[in-house]
Amino acid sequence: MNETFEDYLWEKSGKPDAEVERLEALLTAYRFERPFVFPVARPTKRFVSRRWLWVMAAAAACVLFAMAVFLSELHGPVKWQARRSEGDPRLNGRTITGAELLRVGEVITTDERSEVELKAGKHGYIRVLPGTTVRLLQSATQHERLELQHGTIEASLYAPPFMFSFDTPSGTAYDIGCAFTLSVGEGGKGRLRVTSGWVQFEVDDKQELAPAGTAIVIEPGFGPGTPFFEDAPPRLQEALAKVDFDNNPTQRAVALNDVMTEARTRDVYTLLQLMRNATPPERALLFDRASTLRAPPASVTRDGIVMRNEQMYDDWVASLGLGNAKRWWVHWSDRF
Amino acid sequence: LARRGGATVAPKIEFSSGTLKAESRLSGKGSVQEMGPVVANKAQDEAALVRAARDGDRLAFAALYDRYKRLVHGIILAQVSPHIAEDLVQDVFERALRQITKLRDENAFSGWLIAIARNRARDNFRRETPHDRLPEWLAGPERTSAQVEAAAALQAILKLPEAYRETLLLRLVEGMTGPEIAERVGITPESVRVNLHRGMRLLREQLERHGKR
Repeated sequence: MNETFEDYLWEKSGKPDAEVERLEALLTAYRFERPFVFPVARPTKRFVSRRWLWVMAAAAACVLFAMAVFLSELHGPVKWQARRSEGDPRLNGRTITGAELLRVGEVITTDERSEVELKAGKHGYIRVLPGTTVRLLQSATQHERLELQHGTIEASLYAPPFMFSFDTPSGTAYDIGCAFTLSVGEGGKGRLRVTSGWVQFEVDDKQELAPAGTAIVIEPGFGPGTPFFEDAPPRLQEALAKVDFDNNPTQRAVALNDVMTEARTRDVYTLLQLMRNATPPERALLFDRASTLRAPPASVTRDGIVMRNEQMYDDWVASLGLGNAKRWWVHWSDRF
Repeated sequence: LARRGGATVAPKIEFSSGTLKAESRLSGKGSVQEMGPVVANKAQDEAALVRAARDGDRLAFAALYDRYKRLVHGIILAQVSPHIAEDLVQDVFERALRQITKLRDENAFSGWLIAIARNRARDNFRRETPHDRLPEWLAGPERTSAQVEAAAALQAILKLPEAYRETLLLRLVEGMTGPEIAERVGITPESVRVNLHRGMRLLREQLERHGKR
């Protein structure tokens, strides 16, 4: 690195490094400028008779106890309980007979004829389907982590986003509420189907957010594919797999064309997610196709999308009416 | 706190809607920031400020706040979401105000304050609803492209190892120089320099990768 650039980074002297200057200008938005507010003195205590004080204290203690019981169930580490549904499932090698506690590090295994219902405290349950191995990796306040080694689980959870995560050999799925199916097959290939709410799947720095009704194909070495609606035309799904996982540029270009041809209005979300990861010329093509299917909001322009203006992507996604993942609790009723 | 002829002159302090307004009888200036010479950047002056703050001098405490607010914010920002970090800075200094009477060594103020900030950030990180760490584009469409770019740059820094993350935040967000960071955090200038340059190199790589996607 140039010595003068180093000086600029070190003590803001010498020739400014353009990238450092750009970052400084951008990040000034987060600079802390707030004045200190001295805490206001507590008001003088008013006289309260000793008898009333005891009554109020007792009532407050009752309320606090009830709240503590409720909150410890909802916000403390989850109490995991495995219950046999079918066959002879095993917990750490021994047969599950009734309801048994699952502790960190323990493994549940189901053979081709057995099934387990894994109750996640007050947050819902996970069905461990036949031919599956699941391990509880971590159980801490606001963070429950399971490992799906192979097989299939069906999760139905009511919890704040990112509280539950599921490691697989090809990446990690994060529950953003509320229901999904995750499968891991041979060689770490997998599939995520979201039936309610949102799920984020990520590996390294590649992330895909899948809303209800969509699925993601997971391919070892490539990570998550682009989310697509499960009722999308089969040709679109096949072409999308090539776009996501085929290294041959010619085949990829043909497949991208097929995706655009087959896309319906509902598939604009898929096209938008493709645009985020595409090259600028591909983004232009995808923009043209997506905008004929569903006109973008007034704030979105073709140039902006080609230049990968995140705000425009956000605006367009928001206009699709897929729901806001931050309001995870509203998706809960979708399960019924 | 001000000294003239060896005598400490207590400043007059007024409160308005819970916010400090200070007037120095000596300088006649209206704010802590304007009291330049009073808040000289020397260890002995800092020790004097700490002593005065420990004795209940709110203007001295406000001067310490001005001196350390960005450092504390940078440390906290390395651990928690930006919108929570601002409130936590206030919280850290409220704690410091409550506990400063227990601080015996006035020269240990910066280390003591940093320890409070790190503990508070760690506590909050455990408690922060994961919901707060959602990708920002889900939060709503009301942001400008500069804000989106700034958020992306901040996210990239937050993905770096902790030592680089904190040093880069202090440099790029809070505008502190390397020597200032070393002095305030109490680590050697060499370590800060290494953290800055390695961190910046990783950040460039990450931004470049992101830009190519």
